[in-house]
Amino acid sequence: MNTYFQLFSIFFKIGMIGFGGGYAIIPIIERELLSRHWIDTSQLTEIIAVSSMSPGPIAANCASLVGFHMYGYPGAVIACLGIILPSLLIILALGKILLKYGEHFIVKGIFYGLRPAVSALIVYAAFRLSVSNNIISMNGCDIKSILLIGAVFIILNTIKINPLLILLASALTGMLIF
Amino acid sequence: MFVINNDTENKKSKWSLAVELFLVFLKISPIAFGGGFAMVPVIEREVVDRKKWIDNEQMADTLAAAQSVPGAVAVNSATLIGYNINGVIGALAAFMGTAIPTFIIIVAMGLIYDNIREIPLVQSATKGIQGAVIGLVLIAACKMGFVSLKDKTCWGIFLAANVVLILCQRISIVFIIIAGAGIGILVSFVKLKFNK
Repeated sequence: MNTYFQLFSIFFKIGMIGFGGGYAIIPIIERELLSRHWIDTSQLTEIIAVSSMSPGPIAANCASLVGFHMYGYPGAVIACLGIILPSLLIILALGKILLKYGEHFIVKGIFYGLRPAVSALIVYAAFRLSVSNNIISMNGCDIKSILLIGAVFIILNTIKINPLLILLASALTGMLIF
Repeated sequence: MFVINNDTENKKSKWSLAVELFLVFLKISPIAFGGGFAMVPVIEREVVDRKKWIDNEQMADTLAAAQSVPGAVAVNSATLIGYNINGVIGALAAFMGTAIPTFIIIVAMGLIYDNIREIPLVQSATKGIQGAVIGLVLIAACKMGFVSLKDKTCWGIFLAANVVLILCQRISIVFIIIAGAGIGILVSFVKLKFNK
């Protein structure tokens, strides 16, 4: 029971600070899980890859997979609940206030400062992912991956296409070039 | 602020509305690939156009509020819409309708992947996906940057946070978030004083 509680509380904590959407959470997840040795880097890579290919919030998907890896089906449920419950609770508690005071000067002030911080977190996520996967490292760079990243970036910036198609295309490309 | 527009909706019982909410989001949620925002147009089509539960302006307010809450925009929007149409039960119905399908799918995907992970071709594909994910993350950073980096203070916070994160690997991310929010409030107060 104690271990289930620990699983739940770690993901609850992650869920509480997950502002700015899925990708900003990735370095948080990475740090919390790797430091506790719950999973290693290559497992995290796989988890992020599978989570991206699956519908739903990437955070919840990662949580479910990690929970499953550690404690099977119950683990998956507990971890997933842990990471999405904060959102639900905050909305239930503040639902009316959120809409009434969304324009309030203090709230605006908070997000005025919070958003750039979150942008930095997202950039950091890209940096961490690149380093963890040895795309950028002290010994040199993985040119193929960098080109792939660049291609994805340019394509998604130019044409409006479902990200899933890009992910599938990248999977195919990966099979060819790696 | 949120008023149910349709008279027939008022006559329905709380529970049947909740069930409807649940089913609507159950239907919508499996298509939310690549980050929550993909789901938003579909939510609009269902909730605003077809069911006429809320109008466009309320939808925009909901989206804005959903981003103020931690967690996925898609889930939050759904929950907020549920809450405003049908109270706590509506929020729970929408929440579960959104969460359950994606949960089932990801566990299934995980099981499938476990069985195929040893295949070299799969490992190459995963490497490809990894690259795409980083590309997606960079795009998310750009979009967020566009919205958030409005003036020198914002740029300052952004650059400072980047420097701190990269140099000081041990720093608590919670700290960065609180610091950002704090600076935001401080600067807003200062601006207010200046304008008086």
